[in-house]
Amino acid sequence: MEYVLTTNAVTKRYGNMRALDALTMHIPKGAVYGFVGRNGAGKTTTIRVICGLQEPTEGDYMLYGVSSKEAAIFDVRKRIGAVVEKPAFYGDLSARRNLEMQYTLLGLPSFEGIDALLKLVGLADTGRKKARNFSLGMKQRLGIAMALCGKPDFLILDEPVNGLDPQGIIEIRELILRLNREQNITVLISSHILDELSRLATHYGFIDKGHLVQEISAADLEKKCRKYLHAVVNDTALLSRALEPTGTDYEILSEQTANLYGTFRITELTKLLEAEGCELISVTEQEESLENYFINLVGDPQPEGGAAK
Amino acid sequence: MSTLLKTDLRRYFTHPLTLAALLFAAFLGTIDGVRIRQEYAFMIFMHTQPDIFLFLLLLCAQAAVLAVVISSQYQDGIFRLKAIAGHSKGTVFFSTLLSGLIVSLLLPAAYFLLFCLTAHRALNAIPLRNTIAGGTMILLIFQTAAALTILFCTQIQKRMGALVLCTAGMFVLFAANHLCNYELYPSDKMVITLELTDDPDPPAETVNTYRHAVRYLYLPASSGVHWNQAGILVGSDGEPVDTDGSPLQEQYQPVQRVNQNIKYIGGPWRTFLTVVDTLNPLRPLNTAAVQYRTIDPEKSAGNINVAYRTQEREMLYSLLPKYLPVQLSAFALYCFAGWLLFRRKELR
Repeated sequence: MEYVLTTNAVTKRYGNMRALDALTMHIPKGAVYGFVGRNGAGKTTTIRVICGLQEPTEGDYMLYGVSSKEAAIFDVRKRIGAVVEKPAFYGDLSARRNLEMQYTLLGLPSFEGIDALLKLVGLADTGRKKARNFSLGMKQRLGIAMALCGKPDFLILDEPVNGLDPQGIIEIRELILRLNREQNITVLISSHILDELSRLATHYGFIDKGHLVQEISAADLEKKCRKYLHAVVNDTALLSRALEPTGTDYEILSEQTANLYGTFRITELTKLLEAEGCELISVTEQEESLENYFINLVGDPQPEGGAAK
Repeated sequence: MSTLLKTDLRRYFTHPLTLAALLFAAFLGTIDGVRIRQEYAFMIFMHTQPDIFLFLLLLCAQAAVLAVVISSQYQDGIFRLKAIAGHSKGTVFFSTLLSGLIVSLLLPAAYFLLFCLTAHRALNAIPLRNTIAGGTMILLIFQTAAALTILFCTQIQKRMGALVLCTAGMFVLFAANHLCNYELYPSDKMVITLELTDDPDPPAETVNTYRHAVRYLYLPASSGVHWNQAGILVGSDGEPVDTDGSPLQEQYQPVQRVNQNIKYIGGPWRTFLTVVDTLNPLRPLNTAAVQYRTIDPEKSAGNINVAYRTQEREMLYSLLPKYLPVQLSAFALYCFAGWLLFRRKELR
């Protein structure tokens, strides 16, 4: 698999406190990588390190195959667009003027494409209105537009839906999906709003106390999180014989227990098993949400302020 | 670096405060030019207290522009954008420094442009050497002040904090510097007027207001020079002396204290009053030109005592070699310190 970013045991210390603790992560090309963690888990610090706003205390990272310790990292960073913490823009300038400034900063030869960019983020009709007077959602979209100048291959968004109203959240979500699907931009999104992430992410990285606890693809996570029936039977071999012809997805856990994935009518299931002589002793419906999965993974929520941001 | 510099300069010139400061500089240059034409039409040297006060205002304007534009980059996240765009902290700092210096030097440039346009007829007798020496000193002051301001601005993340600290700091620094130098001129408060006695037929409206030119004496009290009972400048032996303390030559009339007005005593405040007076709409603005045509400062020195001009020029020439290394060293020190501190700074 081709990776846009890999970090190698990146550690960031502030005095005695470890904001990042040997963090190792892999972001595949073309992915929407959901970076999940509690407040203060180290998400923003990781992003700041990747963006060159902070130097890691130990470890390094590879961005498009270039090590952070090489001088060429400054050139490679030109392939990144990022909104870190809060959107960055000139408050006293209009959306268009802001994009012109960003084009100048990136050394682009002309302002061609600004109109399309404004249209893409839904700010084409803002005219001469100063950015500081924009709504929160508009500011967020302007921040993303600034990040999209120069057509980056890798977009980093730090808590992009924080503080947005439901309509704003939907707009940002659709924009991110469009960028990923239509322009094949790899996206790293940090968030602690898991429900929102689950609608976007193709891959997840779970971070806790500065350490990456697990990386998993959305497909694998879905398998782990989907609805299932936990069945206790007299003999799972008989259960297997009964279910095999139906194409049902199941998992044998022991001689008497099994998980059956999908939705079932209990009456029909009982009849099906009875036909093979399998007795259904008990059955419980279970579902693991992303939130439950995350909590199970990192433990019960602790009061905020564990690791530093 | 070039794209950064381009962006920074573009930012300055789209910021209303920069444009306001440039207009302010041009305005100060204009009123100072008008003042020179009116009060010093025949006195062709610029190193006066009013200039220093106006420069103080300009330096404060410069500090305000730099403080707001640079510290806003923290508040708006622009330094972050620059780093993400692949620029190192070093290049970000030097671009900030360079663009700040360019804009800083544009302020005195705007001032002088308008000053020269307004007062060109009163100034055309100034030797080129004098202009270069004076201009160099002023540019040195502005560039060092800019470097010091940038050092602070790149450390302060709050716009208002930077604005207040840098502007007030510049005012205090410059005022303190002025007060220190003030002690060098203990006779500074001696206001003299030199009668323009070779004006054969001065226009009636100029007689009362513009017949006199107010100057300060640059003579230490220890020299023994003082005013006698008749209001004549005399040495310790009681004999009339010139404004530089040397024996008065025969062709000159004695330096006479004609008018000592309390409101004109005391550096910046006196200057402020002069500037305000210049803006007085009741004052005829065109009389100075008439006066200038009547008296040629270089050719018709005659009864006019012009010794002070040479004296002041010589003082400037002697100051420059001392000023240059000090100012350049301070400039280099501020730049280096700014770079060191900025490298350690987290870009927010």
